[in-house]
Amino acid sequence: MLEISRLQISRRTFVGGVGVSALAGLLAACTGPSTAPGPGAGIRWWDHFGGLQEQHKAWAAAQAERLGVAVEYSYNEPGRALEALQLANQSKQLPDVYSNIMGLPLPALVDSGWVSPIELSDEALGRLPEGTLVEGISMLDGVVYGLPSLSDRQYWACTWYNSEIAGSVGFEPPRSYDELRAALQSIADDGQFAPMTLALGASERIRDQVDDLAQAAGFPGWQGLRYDTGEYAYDDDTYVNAIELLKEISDNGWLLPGTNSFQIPDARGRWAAGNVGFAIDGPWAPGGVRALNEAHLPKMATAGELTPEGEDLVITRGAPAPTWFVAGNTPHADDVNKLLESFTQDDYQAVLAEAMDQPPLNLDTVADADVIEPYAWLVEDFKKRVFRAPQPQVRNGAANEALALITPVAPHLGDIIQGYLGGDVTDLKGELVKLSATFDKNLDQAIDKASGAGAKVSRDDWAFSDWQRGVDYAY
Amino acid sequence: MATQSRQRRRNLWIYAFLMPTFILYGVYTIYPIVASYWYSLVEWNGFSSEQRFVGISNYQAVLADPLFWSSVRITLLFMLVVAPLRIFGAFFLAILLNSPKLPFTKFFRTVYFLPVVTTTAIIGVVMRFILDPAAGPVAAVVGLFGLPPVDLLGESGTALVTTALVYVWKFFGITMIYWLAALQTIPQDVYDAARVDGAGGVRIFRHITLPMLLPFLLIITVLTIEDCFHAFDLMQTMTAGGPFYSTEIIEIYIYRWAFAASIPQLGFASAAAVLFGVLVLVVVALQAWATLTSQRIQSQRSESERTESQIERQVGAQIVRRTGKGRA
Repeated sequence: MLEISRLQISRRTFVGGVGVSALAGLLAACTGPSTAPGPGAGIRWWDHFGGLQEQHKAWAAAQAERLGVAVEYSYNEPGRALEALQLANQSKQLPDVYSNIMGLPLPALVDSGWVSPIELSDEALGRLPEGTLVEGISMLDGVVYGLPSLSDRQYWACTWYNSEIAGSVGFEPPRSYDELRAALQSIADDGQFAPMTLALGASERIRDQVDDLAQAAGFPGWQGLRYDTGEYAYDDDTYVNAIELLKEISDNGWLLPGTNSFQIPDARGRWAAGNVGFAIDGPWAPGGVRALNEAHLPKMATAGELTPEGEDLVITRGAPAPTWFVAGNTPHADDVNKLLESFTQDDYQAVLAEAMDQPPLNLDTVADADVIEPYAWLVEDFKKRVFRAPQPQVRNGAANEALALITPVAPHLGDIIQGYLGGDVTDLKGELVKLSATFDKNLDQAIDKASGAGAKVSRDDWAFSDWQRGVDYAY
Repeated sequence: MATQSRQRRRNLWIYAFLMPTFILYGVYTIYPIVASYWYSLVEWNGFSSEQRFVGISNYQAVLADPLFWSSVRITLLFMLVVAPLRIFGAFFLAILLNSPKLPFTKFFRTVYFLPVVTTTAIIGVVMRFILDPAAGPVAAVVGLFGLPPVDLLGESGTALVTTALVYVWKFFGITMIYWLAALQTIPQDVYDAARVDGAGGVRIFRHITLPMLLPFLLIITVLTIEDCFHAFDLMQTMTAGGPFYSTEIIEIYIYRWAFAASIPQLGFASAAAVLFGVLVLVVVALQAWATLTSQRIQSQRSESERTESQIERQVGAQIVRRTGKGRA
């Protein structure tokens, strides 16, 4: 029997014992099975859709009950979502279901084990609108790897305005550049409100919006790349005119002070506060405004998207990109497939519609959903004005090999716009010529690398001489 | 034999105590450094499993990028604005707060130190509100004088200086604590003796405080300069490197390529990170060399002055002996 009196513990022995125990605990925590939520604990679902957080939380709870397996939903802020996925992948803790925020084409994700095949029942496949699953975009060799839930038929540079201010100041919804100038001038003359704000500090967002405005103005391509020739042409007049319009608005003092550094929530929040006339934002603005100031929703109005002279709007977009991926190492493939099937249901599509974020894949659900009138009007406008664009990776799957190797460009269009409006860039045309040349060079280099690795791809894959504006492209 | 065994057991304990440090230092410091050197030699987007060895081409690409050199220039400019303000500003404040005549010294020390313990990102966000040209308090004050709104963070000409001043305010307290600690090392007796000899405040400062604090200048300067190279969290939350790259310090440049690019370029970003490490090393080494050299010159000068005065004293004594002057 151990006698207490014989148990002599020196200070050193005690501290050492505690240290060794702590070390052992640390090592055990590093190597042992984790009790915290992680791989194997149920379905983990990550996304970056801020406007859908409440809805997705509720959907996860409902699906957990239906499937009889835990569904843990987590939202990652868009600016951090990519980093979170990279770190999760490196520590082999990729969530079972995650939203698509990566810039990599599908084959690269498949090759690296990021995604696994999605098996949908015939019933679920039947619910998808025609042309949803496209080879090279969401499928490879007939196997589905990504599930779209959001519509490709949308435009992003919507002219949102405050209907109360419009009534007070007395301007008509602007459809052309001149009408916008006149409306802004009338607000400035009135003196009670700031005429306009933009998310100029978020250069990626202003890039998207000017890409959209240029296409609306007749640029025969998207993101600087001409469909007909397969060459970059950021220096096209459509781009220059759209940027000059923003410059004029800025120089006239029509932008709310601080706009030059506004991130997306700043610009949207200031507009939603009710003292700013106009904001250019995506169709998802009502969802964002609801989260910031729901009282502003009834004042929201939109004039669609500007064209230089008020011409009919024509927009082209590629096939629906995957919204959802399934992790390559998921241990819950069957349950995850069932969860994804639930995203094709009309009630989920209605949830998306009522969130008034990005329009749902099935645009028809919006008509019956509880949404504000301008959102419903926009979605109807999308059906009439947005057409399917040609994509090199759809015509030739090997183009994906080159797309995965393209080096990003800096400064990109959004940076140049920010610099031009702030006075740091003085030669706009020169910068745009340089930008086109850099994009052309990077694409050529990527094609050369891919070709060198055995891919049968050439610059010709990017040229669609038979493309016609205002017509869905068919291969 | 027993002594050896006791010695071995004692060594074992030493290693046991050191082990957590070795492990944590290895995992969180050595491994990332080694890994970043490896990544800088490969082409890797962080998504694909393939890491293609490309030799020094990432370094060549970084060095050929004008935005890298712009970020180097901005980082050095930021350091040149911030470091002297922190070092000398904190020095004079510490002298003031160390004065026994000043009331509420503990209160003031706490007030100046408070920003140091506040989360940097929170300060960045709050400062954006304060400097908001549409609705912030600064705009309100400017408006009182009938002046147009000033967009300090939205103008490339003012953004860097503004963030630098916020940075100085945020980290001023830590440098002040260094100086206060240094001031505590000067014995009170020396001051008392000087006062008895009739020395005033300025002479005490010039001939006692300053020389006795000089050895601390090196370490405080090195620590502060090294610290000034790490302003990512404040800069990212206040300006994210904008407008038009005017506040893009190297850390933001690295982050942009590693995590914010449409297709992340981890190899390229790692090469920039390695070059950044070299830059920090060079600046600190240059600064240490300059300080040590000036100290050596100074000590040589005082040594020669001492020797000269000794000679003068000896010569004077000989003259006195020979002439018999000075005898009673």
